Amino acid sequence: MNGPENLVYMIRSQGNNIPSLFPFKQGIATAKICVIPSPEQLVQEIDAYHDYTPRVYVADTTKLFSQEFKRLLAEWKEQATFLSSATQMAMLPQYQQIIGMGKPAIPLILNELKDRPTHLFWALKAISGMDPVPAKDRGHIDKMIKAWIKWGRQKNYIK
Amino acid sequence: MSILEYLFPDQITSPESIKYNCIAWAAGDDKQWWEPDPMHMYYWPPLVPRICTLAAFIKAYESIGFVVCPDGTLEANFIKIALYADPYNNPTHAARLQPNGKWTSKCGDKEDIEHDLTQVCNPPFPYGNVVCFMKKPT
Repeated sequence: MNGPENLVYMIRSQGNNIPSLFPFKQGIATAKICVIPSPEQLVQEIDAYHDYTPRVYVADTTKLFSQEFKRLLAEWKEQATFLSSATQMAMLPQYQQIIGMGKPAIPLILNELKDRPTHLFWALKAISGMDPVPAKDRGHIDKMIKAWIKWGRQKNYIK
Repeated sequence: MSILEYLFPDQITSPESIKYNCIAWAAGDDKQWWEPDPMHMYYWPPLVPRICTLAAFIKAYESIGFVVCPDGTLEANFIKIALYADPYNNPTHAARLQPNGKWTSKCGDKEDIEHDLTQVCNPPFPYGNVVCFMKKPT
């Protein structure tokens, strides 16, 4: 299971189903932790228990997150066909949605950059607030990729 | 088969590449991506305004010796380029005239193609129309 950014936390307590994004402050003294593979299963899990035992449901959404990233990326690439401007590419809705996925998307973006180079630099810079590319290497795509991959490794986003 | 191979059979002149764009290719540069992006991530000639306007693009090409000229006809001892813009006059594309009278373009991060001047003015190409010609001595 990955870091807290990829987890959906929900809490059920005292007979009330209280959805809450992490971190929650419900003041539960004791609770049973139930790990479920996806948020969809949460409803089934909740329906399965009627004993009102406080439970914290933790779902690993990494797979869903990755699928959503791939879907957006594929749609974006199609929309960006023939565009000569990376700025115009970055303005497309799917690209903006990738940026909206935030820091958890950084490893996915870096791996994409490594395996299938494309113009995801804007997204990396927008999400991270960083730009590891030296000024002299601006526009040199291979060097830009190299700098971002090195940065990603230093920050432990990728191996 | 790529979409350009389908649209321009026998007119593909390079493999796909994201290393350079049409703006660089028209300038004769296939080593870097030219763009006046506001994030300052890509190459743009020094001292040229980093904005996406026709005036800025003309200045970019002027910085490497081009001057505006009236047409895109072949002229001995000159390299000519054409700038394309959308209906709002925002630059979208550039092509370079070859000695055989055909134009060469890099289409986004796809292949280079050889084409007639207006062959990339209609969908699926989002380039609009030719709005300016420039030339420089060979």
